[in-house]
Amino acid sequence: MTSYELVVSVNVAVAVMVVISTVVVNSLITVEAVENEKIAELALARLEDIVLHAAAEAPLVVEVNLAEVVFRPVEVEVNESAMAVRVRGIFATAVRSSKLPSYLRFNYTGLLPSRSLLYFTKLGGTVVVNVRRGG
Amino acid sequence: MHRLLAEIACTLLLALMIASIYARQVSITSLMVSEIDVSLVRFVTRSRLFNVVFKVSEVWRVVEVYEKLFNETLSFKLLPALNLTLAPTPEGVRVYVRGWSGLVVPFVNISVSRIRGCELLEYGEGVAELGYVDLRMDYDSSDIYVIFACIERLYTFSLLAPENLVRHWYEWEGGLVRNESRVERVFLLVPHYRAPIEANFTVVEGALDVEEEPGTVAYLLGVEGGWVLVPRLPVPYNPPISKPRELFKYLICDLEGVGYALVVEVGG
Repeated sequence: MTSYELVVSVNVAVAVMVVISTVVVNSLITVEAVENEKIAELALARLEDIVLHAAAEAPLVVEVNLAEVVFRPVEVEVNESAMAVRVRGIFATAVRSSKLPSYLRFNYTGLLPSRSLLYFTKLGGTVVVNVRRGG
Repeated sequence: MHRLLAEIACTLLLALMIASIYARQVSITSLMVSEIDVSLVRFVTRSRLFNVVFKVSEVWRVVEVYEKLFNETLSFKLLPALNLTLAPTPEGVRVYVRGWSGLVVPFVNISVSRIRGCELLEYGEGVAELGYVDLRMDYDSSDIYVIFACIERLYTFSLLAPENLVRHWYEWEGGLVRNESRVERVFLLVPHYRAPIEANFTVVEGALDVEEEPGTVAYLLGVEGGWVLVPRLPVPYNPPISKPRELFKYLICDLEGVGYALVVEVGG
């Protein structure tokens, strides 16, 4: 094998490897993005389910453990009138958010602790949720 | 020797890389192939369909939530608890009573009021023993028919009226009737009563605040040039979108202490 042939074959091999790795990495990113979106959707729906059911039964205290809501670690951020779930992955991060109904508001802004106590109280026609860190 | 070792190391490295990628793919493939559809759960929680007894405004709120958020992902129907239909016969009219699955519901007490303008023209009642009852009254498609069905404490109703008489003027948020014509008289349709009942009303910010009787399901408004019917409940609500049924639930709409049974059907 001449040195010219060697250089060409090495370059071709590198090019093929680059193409394959690009395809693999892209597919991994896509798959992870889809997975995270689904998890975020699921977590948001389950949390909404818990919060809105509890609001209908107020006054009530609910202990929420995020590890029991969904099987992957998620971040839940709330403010007075909205709730967002963020799922972080190696390549992709997904966020799903929803506006809370007008009769419900959180008296809390920021990340929900992974274990927390939600105190639902009725004030007139509104249900107010106070958040405390769970044990 | 060195070359052979290098080749083996490269091959092992490549195999390891491929195996790790496959392992990750396999760990998330189940989620990739699975379909997560949370629309129905979200609709039920958002609209508070987990309750059984609803006020008028809560029934309207269910429809509003559907129209705002889920009208593309779900199908939704709000109907009387029983499928009540009326057909003319040579002797009068026949009222058919079926469940929404098509099954015959036996021994249902039926009453029908035929109303023109604000006046009761005819009234008939009977028991639908095997899915229908024949009543001696005339049928005219330009009249309003109030069909009232009762089994023990289950009450439901169906209003049959020509399209040109129906106005959707009821504002559920304030419980007012936002009339577009000058209203002279107001009558109430209460299925428990045979005839429409005249009601007092006041004008509040251009809308009518009517003093309802318990169980009022619609208003008859005397406007210039005739009478119009304003339903108080969004029943029947039956948009054309159709999807496989996932939820079928009976609910009670409480109208000032009188409960009417309705059916909610959601498809996804």
